[in-house]
Amino acid sequence: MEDFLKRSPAAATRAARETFYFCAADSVVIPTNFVARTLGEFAEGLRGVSVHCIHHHFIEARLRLKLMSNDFSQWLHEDLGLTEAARQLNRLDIYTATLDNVREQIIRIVERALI
Amino acid sequence: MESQTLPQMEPATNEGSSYVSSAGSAAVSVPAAPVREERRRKPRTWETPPAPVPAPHLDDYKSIVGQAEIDELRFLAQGLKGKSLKMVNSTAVGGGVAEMLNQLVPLLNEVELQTHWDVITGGNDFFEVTKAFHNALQGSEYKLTQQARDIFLMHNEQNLKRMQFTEDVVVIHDPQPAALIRARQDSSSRWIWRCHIDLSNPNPDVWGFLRPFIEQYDAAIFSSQSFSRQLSIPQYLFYPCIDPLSEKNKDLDDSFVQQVCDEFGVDRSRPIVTQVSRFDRAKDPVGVVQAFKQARKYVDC
Repeated sequence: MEDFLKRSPAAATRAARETFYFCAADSVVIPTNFVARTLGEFAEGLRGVSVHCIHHHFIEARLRLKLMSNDFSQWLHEDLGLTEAARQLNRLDIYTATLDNVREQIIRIVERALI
Repeated sequence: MESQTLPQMEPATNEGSSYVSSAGSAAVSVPAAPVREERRRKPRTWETPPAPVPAPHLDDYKSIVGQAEIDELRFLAQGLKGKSLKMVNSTAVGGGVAEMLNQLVPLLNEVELQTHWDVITGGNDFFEVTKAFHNALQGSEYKLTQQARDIFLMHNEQNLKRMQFTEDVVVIHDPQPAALIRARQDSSSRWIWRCHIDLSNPNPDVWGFLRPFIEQYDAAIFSSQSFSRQLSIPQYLFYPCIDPLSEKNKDLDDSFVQQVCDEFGVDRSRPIVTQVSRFDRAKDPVGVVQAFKQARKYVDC
């Protein structure tokens, strides 16, 4: 931004069509009743949790972990040894689907790993 | 409504207290039906108010949001268990705030947040002034007089003396009761101003009059960033939402839908863009027409 403004100083005062409002957001993380010790229980949990849970573990986790991964993939890889399923989950496109769609896609991958 | 404190009923205002059928709301229908003489009949009205809707329960929403969402709400509420909350607004019926509180107050009580709802009283002079304030704050021209200020303050003062504020949290809705903040006596309670209107372009005199009251609150809640003002107190956002179980959002009986569509010559074989609201500048009916025009490019509606 600063480089651009050095090159085009007049841009600094150009009025925007709409105002940009900077907002802050605080997350509240709470436990749920779902716990998974096996892949079957994991699939069951994925069906039952809210989309906020999917967002927390699958989307927000990518920023939190700083590992280019997510909580689900990490657990599948590290605790169940399901590296391929973990990789498939991590490749899901979260930007072109709703959270419910993302949940369905995750469940499909987990169910394939169950077979 | 078991443990809910019912609001005290008010003198009727212009907002929806005549129980006009919601079918009278603005509908953007298809163009170019042959114009029929006197197609619009008299609005349907009821002689007596419709029967009160039973208080909702959280589990009623399970089929819509899922059990997990309900569980999360109950869990979050545990941290507030036993706290008391007072909601104050200006009407018990009619208008979006009353509609929201009718549903919300029983739900808050269900999760053991002791919630009471009080409605301020006032004569016609007060409601004329506050209606003018309401419009002026949303951009209408208005000349603020000393008499209007006095009426506003006098009725707020009368309500302040009548009401008790012993709850942990007091939520004052919209500008009409905003001056009740003067009742605040100790710092242990928290006072929040919940603004449901668009303050992006307010009449400067009216906003200049109200702002000193607003800035005495602990926080303000707005429905959109663009509706807010720069204030010296923290501001929070509650994005607009609908209650899928409210009367306004329930499915109507098909024969009734057909009857209304027949009456207005609306073709039901195509999607219909409908606005269900008071016919009011603040409800942006022109925006609905513009949205219809955009949709019409892609959908035969």
